[in-house]
Amino acid sequence: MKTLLVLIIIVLAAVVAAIWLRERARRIRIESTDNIVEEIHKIGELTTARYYEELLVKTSRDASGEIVFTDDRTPHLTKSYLIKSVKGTVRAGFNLKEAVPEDIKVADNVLTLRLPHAIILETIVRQQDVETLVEKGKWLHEQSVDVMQKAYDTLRENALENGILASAELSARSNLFHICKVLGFRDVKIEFK
Amino acid sequence: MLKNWTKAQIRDRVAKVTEMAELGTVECKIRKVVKANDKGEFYKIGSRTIVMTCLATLKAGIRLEGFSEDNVKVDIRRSSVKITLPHAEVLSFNIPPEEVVEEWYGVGLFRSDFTDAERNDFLRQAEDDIYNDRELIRSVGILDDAERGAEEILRTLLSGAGFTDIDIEFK
Repeated sequence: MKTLLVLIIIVLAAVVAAIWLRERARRIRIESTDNIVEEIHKIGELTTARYYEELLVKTSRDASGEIVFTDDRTPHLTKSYLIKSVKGTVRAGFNLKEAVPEDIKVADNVLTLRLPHAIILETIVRQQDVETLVEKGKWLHEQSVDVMQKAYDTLRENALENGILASAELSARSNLFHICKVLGFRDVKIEFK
Repeated sequence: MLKNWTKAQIRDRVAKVTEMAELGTVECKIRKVVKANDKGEFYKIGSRTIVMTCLATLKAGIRLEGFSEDNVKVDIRRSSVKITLPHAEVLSFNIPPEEVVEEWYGVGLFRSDFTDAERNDFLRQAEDDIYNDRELIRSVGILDDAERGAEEILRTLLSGAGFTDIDIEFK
């Protein structure tokens, strides 16, 4: 009788473990839908610097249910947590659509180029680079969007703090100098407006 | 809304700035409906369905890294230049968070809500589906437009620099 009981417990534990493992490995596939092109337009973006960062975003909720960022290092029993790893890229450079013909001058085989100052062109986070590490409690879609939006803003702020714009201008100066020299100019002067 | 935000609460793990040279000439916006229906397993009662929409931004253009004397033939006396550039390619792909909308979801009585990790995974699949849709990129002609755009920008710059005979080809 005792042996039978142990056997039943083992079988039940095996079934629960199998279901748990199956659940962990299960991936719900999205249905096949069309990709619709809504808009195509011309741009003129010269990207000359890129900032890459991997962030760890740790969020919780306060008593009123509002999202707060937390420094908790171990989970609090009554709190909800959403901890995400986000890898993102910030691209900086120049909007060439702002350039006018007067920005290019040639005299005595010396080329003078006037460029607008570098700007942040885009902040990019690929979904494949977003990982939910800890999820405790119910998190609505809108709250996830807020967390991701803050990750985007932080990437942008950190890129600026790490001097992406100065790097973009420096890189533009060396790249354009090189290209223009290849084009046969005796000298190349690059100025920023 | 988020509050009590401090930098220390988002920990930087890896960060670096690198130099590059790319000329983006076309931007394309692609919308997709993301629908997932989880009927569950034999040990689960009820189903779950979610419908989201997302708007992806794709930029195409040419990479200028590696541009050297080999890409250029100049005849200063004739004010002529011939430039060979690499073919256009997709330079960036992004789905901004504000462009992801949860349109509808229904969860059976005995089922749990969709988690953040599951919603992320649906968007990851949608992203892969759009990014790998080479037929769409080909049929809409994004890369051809990107090459035309690059040619247009370079012609403007080169004619401003005094060249009158400009030949640009992609290889």
